[in-house]
Amino acid sequence: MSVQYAAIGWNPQKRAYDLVMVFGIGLYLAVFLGASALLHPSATAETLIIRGCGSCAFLLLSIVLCIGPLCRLDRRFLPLLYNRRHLGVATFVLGLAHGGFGIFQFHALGDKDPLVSLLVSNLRFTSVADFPFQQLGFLALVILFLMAATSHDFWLRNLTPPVWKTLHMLVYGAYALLVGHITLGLLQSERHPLLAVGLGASIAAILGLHLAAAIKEKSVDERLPQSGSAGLVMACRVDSIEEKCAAVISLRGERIAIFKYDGKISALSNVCRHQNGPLGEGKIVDGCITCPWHGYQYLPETGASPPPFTEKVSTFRTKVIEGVVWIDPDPLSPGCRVEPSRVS
Amino acid sequence: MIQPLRRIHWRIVLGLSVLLPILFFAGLRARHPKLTGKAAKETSSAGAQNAPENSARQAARQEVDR
Repeated sequence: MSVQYAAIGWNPQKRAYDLVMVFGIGLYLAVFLGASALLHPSATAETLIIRGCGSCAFLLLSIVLCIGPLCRLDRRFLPLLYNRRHLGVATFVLGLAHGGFGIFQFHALGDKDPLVSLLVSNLRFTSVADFPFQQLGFLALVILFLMAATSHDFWLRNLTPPVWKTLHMLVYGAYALLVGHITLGLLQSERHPLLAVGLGASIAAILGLHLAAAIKEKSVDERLPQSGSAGLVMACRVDSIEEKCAAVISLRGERIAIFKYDGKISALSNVCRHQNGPLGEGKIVDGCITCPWHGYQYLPETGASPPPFTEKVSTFRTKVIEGVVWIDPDPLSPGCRVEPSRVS
Repeated sequence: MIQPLRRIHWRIVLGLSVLLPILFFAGLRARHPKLTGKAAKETSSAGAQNAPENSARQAARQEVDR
């Protein structure tokens, strides 16, 4: 069984996203290089490019890491999430330019292979002031390369979403390596307080946003549903669900989205098959549950995508008793049809 | 399916909440040992050993910049 490759489906939103991204990067580099040339007239062009590309890559990575929790806290940030992988690929390209110029400037034209020189020239791992920070940056670049190379949906389907998502969570390792790279590298030779303040602000923003989003999400997981007869579990009241929207509950470690539409109730897994988006935060459009992240759709009765698409999510049996939705916690196989409960 | 990833995600964030500030302040302290008196005493002997290496490192960087 193989997964067919499908090229990127460009659309106006992606083009606009990339245009803004490229313009932003160009503007940042222009301002940085211009200001650096004025403040450090003795610096060479290669040095300015190394610093410009490196700082831009780190700034971009910080923005990428903030997008996830921001979307959890405020849905208005969702448009930034849709093509976040483009920012990630741009981060890698800038990091590659930074690393490439750095290797050429500091390790080329010697008697050793530049890459070997990068890895073995400094092995003072016991010193903080002289720590081999370049190796940290190299490792971070390897991680960013792996992520950029597997950013296409082809790899998402080939590797399966959980494996792909686990691989892409290495972004946190890359960020930690880059914090080490900057702290033990640039900050050891530069005295300007703005650099330390900027790095500290990045760390504080990313950690603060993640913790805030985690606290908000935890409140959903900690609500314990009440058990009833015949193994059913009380989910929520029917009138607490908006029309064509869903209520999300947490059951046995997984989230379930309960949709109300046309006087009926259906329940299915909250996790989109595409990129694990929260289906319960979506709406029913043209009779299909629509994922808010990338628009993947599922029929509420079966949890299957309308043809010709083949994605399926698990469904759950439901019952409506006196205005309360009860749910069977055992999931049915993905795509299994469940007769929706009628709202009396 | 997704819950184990959320648990891992949470643990990563907690781990980074501890690791990153330690890394950041350790690097700052190595660069600015005079910020705290204790740091100054501890680094005075280590700093004396590292001083020639640091100076050579900075001189090499300045040479490259020129």
